[in-house]
Amino acid sequence: MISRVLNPPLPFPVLARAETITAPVKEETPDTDKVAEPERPWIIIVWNDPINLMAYVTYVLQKLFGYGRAKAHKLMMQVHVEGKSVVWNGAKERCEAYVAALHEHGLWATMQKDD
Amino acid sequence: MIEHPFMPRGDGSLDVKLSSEEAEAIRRVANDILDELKQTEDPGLRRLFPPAYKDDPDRNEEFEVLTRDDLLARKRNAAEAVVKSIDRGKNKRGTWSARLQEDVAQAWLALVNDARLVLGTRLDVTEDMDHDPLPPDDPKAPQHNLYVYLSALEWALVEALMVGLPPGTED
Repeated sequence: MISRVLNPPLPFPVLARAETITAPVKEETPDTDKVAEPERPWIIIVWNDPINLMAYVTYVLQKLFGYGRAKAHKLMMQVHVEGKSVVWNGAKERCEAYVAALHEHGLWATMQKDD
Repeated sequence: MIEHPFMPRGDGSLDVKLSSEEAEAIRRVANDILDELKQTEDPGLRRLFPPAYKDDPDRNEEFEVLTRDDLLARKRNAAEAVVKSIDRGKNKRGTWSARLQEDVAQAWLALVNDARLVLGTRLDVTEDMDHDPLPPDDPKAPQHNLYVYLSALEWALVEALMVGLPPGTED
């Protein structure tokens, strides 16, 4: 059996430095009524497309995220039926690495801040 | 195609058996993809590099700058690995066979999927498209029939690779 680590090393090491290479373009307006909140997590969305096989999408979700068959299948069906699904959430850099890995596997994935 | 062209060996590696014609066709597809990856403006190719941010072109450009070359290289490596594995396989009486180690099996999956994405985009396929082969006089026939074949091949490959996955987490 091949073991898949649940926290794989970033497949694109340059992304680990992304936050320090680029200065932020927009400054967040501070909310003066509240104390500083921890940063909201980012979410990864996989979008439906007419080409990828359902079995392939399920396989990729298992392979990249270490999900079991049932969970991967459920997420895939959500993509298929509803047009999209949130497949992961977490820190921005890790989201970027996962999105790059999903693109490498031909899935259409985007990321955004969790609302 | 024989019924089970890919036989999993339990460690992520696969034994493959195809007709020599199929092996030759896949080799051609891999070389076509290598040529495709050298083009920059092909819409089929654009499907291989989708945006990472839906509504944020600045962030998206930053992402592309950081990932595009690496992504291109990985796809190129996958196609080259497939060509090499086909050249190394055994051709005997019209049948081609080979043992693919785990990384090469993954390269096959990558290459076949990339080819389907490029072809499928060019053919403007829909989810409910007809998978019957087109008659030979239809100008779309070669691409359509190749797309249908690669879909079946990928399905068989995914089935075999599923065997090697660990149980994973369900929550």
